[in-house]
Amino acid sequence: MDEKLISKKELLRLTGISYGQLYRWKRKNLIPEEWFIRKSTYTGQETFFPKQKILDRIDKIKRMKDDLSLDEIAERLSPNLAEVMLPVEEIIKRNIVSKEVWDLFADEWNGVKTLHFEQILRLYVIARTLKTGDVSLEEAHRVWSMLEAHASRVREQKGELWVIRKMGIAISLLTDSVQDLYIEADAKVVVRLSLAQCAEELKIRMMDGGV
Amino acid sequence: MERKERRDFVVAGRASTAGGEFDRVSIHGDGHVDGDLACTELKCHGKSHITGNVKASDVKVYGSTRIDGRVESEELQVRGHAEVGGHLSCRQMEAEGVLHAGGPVTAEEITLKGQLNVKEDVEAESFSAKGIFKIDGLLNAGQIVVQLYGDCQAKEIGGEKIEVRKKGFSWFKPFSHHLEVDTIEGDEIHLENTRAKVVRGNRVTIGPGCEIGLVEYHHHFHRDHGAKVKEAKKL
Repeated sequence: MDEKLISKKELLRLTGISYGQLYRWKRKNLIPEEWFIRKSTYTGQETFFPKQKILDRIDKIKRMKDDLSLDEIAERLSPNLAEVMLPVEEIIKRNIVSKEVWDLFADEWNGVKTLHFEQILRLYVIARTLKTGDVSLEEAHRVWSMLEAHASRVREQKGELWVIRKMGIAISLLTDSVQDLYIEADAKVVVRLSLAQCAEELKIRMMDGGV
Repeated sequence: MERKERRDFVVAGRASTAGGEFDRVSIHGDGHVDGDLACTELKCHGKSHITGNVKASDVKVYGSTRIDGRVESEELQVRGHAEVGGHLSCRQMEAEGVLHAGGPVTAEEITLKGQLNVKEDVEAESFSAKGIFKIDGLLNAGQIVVQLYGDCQAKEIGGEKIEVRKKGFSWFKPFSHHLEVDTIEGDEIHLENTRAKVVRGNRVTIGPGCEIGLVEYHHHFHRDHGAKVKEAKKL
């Protein structure tokens, strides 16, 4: 992914935090392990971070740390939402997924009234897919069926969802981990979504709603 | 862990079980547990092999024990030889014998007087070693105090306060034991007998017996004349 990276040294200079603080926060799981990206440079191994994410996160920690203990901050940053269940009206009321999207898919859920985190995530991914405007409703339904068939993958929040179109025919893929995928020239990638990132966005939306 | 109405499991001689929940588990002789084990206290004398995960309040290994899965315990004491395949997490860990961990190790307090080998990262609030360690990943702790009783190794060390000292003082073997590490980063760093490519910190003291490629410091840097430092930069 072409995210902008920032080196550890630059990060500490910009934010004014010390090595000790950074390591303490890492220990307390305030900064996700995946954000520590090791790369070889001419001086040896160096650690880089996704720039925007880490700057936002450190800003957040700094603001919270006067009032809360590190453990409490960790709890806030990644509450165990996997256990959360929400009634459909709540999901719509809090605008986690719009009513329009829910109405389009309501039939698929067989009258289910309360959704697990994994199901909400599935719905959220579909909403995101539709939002691009490049995916037809029928195609979105097919994506839904695929996500349902591989619900355990979605639960693990690993991998990416791709929708590729060629000559009007769309194919959706759920990949485990993608470094590079090469596609023939006249095919087009319509959707590319990381499940982990969707889950993160969803968590933030759910928390802002006051879960 | 509260003590429920659970049975004890005692092996004297040779026995095997499928695991389960127990109050006290004590293995003398040769014990084999084929599955997960949850108990208040696990004591292993003799030889034992547990193929699943262990969850306990207190684990003591006096003999030779292999646990293929995870270990989660309030306290862990190794006086003999222990091998853990998965994630090892506990509040207090004391290794006086030999402890091998195939997964990451997380603890609040680690006291090492024997030998510790870890294939992944080690995280603790305090790590104090008077023994030998080889950590293939990152050693991350608030306080790290190492007395070199042998050659030690880690890929990276990071934390608040990091102190590495050679054992005692000897006119004859001033360069006896070493710590070998790629990078050390911390707020306050005092090193002796350490070989590192890069050392970064706020206050850095490079003592005798050190060979360091690059030192980057913020406030304070002191170098002993018995230390080799290729380059030092104030940030």
